[in-house]
Amino acid sequence: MYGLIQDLLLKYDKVFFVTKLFPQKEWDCFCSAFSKRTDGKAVFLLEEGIACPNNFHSFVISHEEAEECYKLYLTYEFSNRFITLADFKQYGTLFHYIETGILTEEEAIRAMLA
Amino acid sequence: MEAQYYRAMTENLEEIEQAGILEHKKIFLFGHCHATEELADLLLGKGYAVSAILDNNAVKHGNDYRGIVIQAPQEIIREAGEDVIVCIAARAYAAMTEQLRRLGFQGMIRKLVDYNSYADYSLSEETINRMTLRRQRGEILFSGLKEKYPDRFRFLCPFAALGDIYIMMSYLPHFLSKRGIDKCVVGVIGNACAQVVRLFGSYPVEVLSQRDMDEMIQAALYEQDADTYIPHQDRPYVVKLSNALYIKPITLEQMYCCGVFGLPWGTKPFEPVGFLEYGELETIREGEAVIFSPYAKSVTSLPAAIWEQVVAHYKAKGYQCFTNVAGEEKPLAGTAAISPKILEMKSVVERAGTYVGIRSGLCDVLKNVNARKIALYPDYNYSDTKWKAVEIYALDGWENIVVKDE
Repeated sequence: MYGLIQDLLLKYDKVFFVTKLFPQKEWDCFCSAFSKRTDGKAVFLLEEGIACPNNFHSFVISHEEAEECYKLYLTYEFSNRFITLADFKQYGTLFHYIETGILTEEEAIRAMLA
Repeated sequence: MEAQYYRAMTENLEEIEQAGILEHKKIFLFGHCHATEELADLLLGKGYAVSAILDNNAVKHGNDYRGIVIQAPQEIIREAGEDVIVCIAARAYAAMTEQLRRLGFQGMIRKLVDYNSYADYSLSEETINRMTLRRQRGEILFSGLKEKYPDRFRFLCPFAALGDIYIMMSYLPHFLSKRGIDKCVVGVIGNACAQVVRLFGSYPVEVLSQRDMDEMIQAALYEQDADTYIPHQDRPYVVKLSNALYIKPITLEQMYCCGVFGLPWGTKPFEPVGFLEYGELETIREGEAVIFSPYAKSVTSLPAAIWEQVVAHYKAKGYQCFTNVAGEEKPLAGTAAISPKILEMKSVVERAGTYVGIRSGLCDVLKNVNARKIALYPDYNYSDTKWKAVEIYALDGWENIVVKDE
């Protein structure tokens, strides 16, 4: 698992790790905004059961691998280019800005991609 | 910069100096921030020349600090690696190192101060093992906290900044109500932050060291503990709220109200209730005095000449002049030192009638005091964004003045 992450970080500018914890609505919104993006090389590491548009570079990993990956992410910051999309109940998130009208959905996704 | 970090930076610099690492090297610094300026001061003071300060914020490129030009990190690849050392005194050390390596820079990179224990940009077995041990230490500490406060929701504040704690506490009761939380404990770093918590009532406060806090937060994250919340706008690394600033300016107050707590903008912050009266108020002439506050640990300082002018202005008007100092800080020339506790500052400023301070967290604590309040802003950009600090930190009811370099 760690070898795969390392390889992806070498080959791509950003690695988005998407877990089943990430709400479907936000994921749909993210995919829509990401599709319009043209800059940078990004890859998606998807927990099995999560679908993404065909034109995205992606790797599907098992639930067990996703759990391992998530635990690693929660152990330390090993890269600022590894972005995890999960559920965020322990701290503030960009989605709070959408709920409170500070950012539009599209702006929040752009911020996430920044 | 906090004294402990400054000490560590000085010691690390002396260590690499004694090892001869700086000899015949072109020295670059990375990340234009207050700590980097202090590092530049140290190096210049020791007689070293600093070639440039690298910074990702294009707005800063071409500016200088004490004659040291600020330029894009890409410029470093023009240099022969073996003749160059890049010294970093910024929180984003790991990210900066990776950026330089990805640019192709082969030379030496040195961390002068360890601000960020969460990050190590490596997936080597050694790193994973070390960071796992760190997390496990956190689990022991976290378990102790849970045992000490078994029926309380936990807030772990990751950064020792008075302003952050003040704003956070002013919205905390709304968050407790929103989540249906009856009882909580607030974990902070250092006694000054604990005092700010106590301004807002009788919350139990747990005072921790930075290291213990970092490790405990890491454990709380790892355990995905549903009864713990980390109320900060950009720490630790899992919090991405500051990314919104790449899209639009968002004030610090909005960051806490809306971003951190998810409360509607317009939610009325709670007022502090725990201010105390300073014991020597009679030494301050009522309405005819001014309290200066020129020191801040994380904000670029203002030139001494500015403060000389400000002091001269008030002295000419016959004001009694005080400088608020702590520890080894010196009062501004021509002013008397005064060192009230944070809880006593309101009474001091209201008695004096005028407050003039660099925009620091103390301004947040004094946000609503009944006096003339002037916040001075060095003309710098907030983090690596295109927004000026005043756009993020401006205070309602204050005179917010940007001090330009010229």
